[in-house]
Amino acid sequence: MDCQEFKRWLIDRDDCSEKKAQQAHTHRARCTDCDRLHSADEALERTMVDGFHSADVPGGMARRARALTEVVEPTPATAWTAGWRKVLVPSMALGVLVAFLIWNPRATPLITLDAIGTYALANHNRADMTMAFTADEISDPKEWFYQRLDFRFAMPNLSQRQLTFLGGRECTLGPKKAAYLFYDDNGERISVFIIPARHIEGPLQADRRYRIDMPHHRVELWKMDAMICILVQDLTTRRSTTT
Amino acid sequence: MKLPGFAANILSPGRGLTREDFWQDAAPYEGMLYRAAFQYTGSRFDAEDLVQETYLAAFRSRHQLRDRRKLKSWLFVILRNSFLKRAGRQGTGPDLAYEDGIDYDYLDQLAIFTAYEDAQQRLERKATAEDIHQHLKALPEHYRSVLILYFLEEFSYQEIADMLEIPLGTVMSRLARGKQRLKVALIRQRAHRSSREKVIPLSRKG
Repeated sequence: MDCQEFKRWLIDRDDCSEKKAQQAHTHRARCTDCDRLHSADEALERTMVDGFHSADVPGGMARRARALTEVVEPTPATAWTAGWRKVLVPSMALGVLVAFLIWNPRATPLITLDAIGTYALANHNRADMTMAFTADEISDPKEWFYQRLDFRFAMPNLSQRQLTFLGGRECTLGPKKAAYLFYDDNGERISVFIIPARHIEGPLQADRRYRIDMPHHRVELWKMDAMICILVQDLTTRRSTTT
Repeated sequence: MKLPGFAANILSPGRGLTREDFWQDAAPYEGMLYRAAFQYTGSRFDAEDLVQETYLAAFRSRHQLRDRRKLKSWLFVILRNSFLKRAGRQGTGPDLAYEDGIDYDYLDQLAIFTAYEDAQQRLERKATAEDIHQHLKALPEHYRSVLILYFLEEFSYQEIADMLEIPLGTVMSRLARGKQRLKVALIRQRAHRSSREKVIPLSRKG
């Protein structure tokens, strides 16, 4: 093998025979230039392999994706029996609300209680409202939300209702940003939204719970410090309801 | 944390993987998928997003997978398709019309570079995943995919050919050319870096 053949081998070596490799090895042993080329090429190969593998892989991606498939999808029964209602009813209500806000000459940037209920319900039923994090991934959800929203809040205490916190994401309730918390209630999804009280029209008393009955859903509101919490519960999947 | 099965059997049962099987088999590939996604997108956030999108798409159509042994390559194909779809949607897609034919004279450049006194030392300098992405993104997508499959997972030529639905010979030629282009880019980067390192800053007077 001469230098030209060696160079050709160096380019095509992945596809060359063992015999060619042996000849190249022999040539290298007696040709310094070709040996230097070979060493440099090897170094570049190693650099490439290391470079490809050097990205630090964040953990939990599969687990998070799995959680999404379990939280977002409705059960077959729900999808079949209540699917159209879940989409149609909130859409119509939202349409009426938007029309009202557009045509109402006294429309204000504050959100009414009815409107907040409708927005929360629409979010609750949106299939693309997936969790951005699960409870076991984030040690301090308050901080997570504070970094993304312009307000800080305490996590609502729902232990009396035996709800298990699953995860959360940010969302909007109409024009305002809100925190969206996902809870589990014996296998059923409960959505809790948190929004600063300053965005809501009308005072809410701190020691009272307000309930808005929507078609097939129950929406509860209450004040927690300077925040309003909105809980949405699907009644179509419940055998018995608790208040 | 054990998540509730709100929708344990939501998707068509199909004949393929069950929900449990799917996650058990697919979860270990998140590292491979992430590294590939990173090389496609160049962004950690986008890569994470792409992996999640891939898992969700694969999960939804898991009943289409006939052979569990091909899960890994199937996941990669979904990831690549998702990337191409996304890139097309964003209008920043890879240059698919880019044609071969440019001779980079890899060996000539390597020969010139090896003449430097500290050439080997410079060539051994580590490249980060970001470096590789910077060079990869300058290549047409058909080179990128072959290189990613080859370097990240050491798929065989035949496996790569099956995944990308191209002939075996095309895989070999793209790999050879792609490697050369990548090596040329690395050489240039190292030459550029070292020449920059030799610049002596001049202090302004008065």
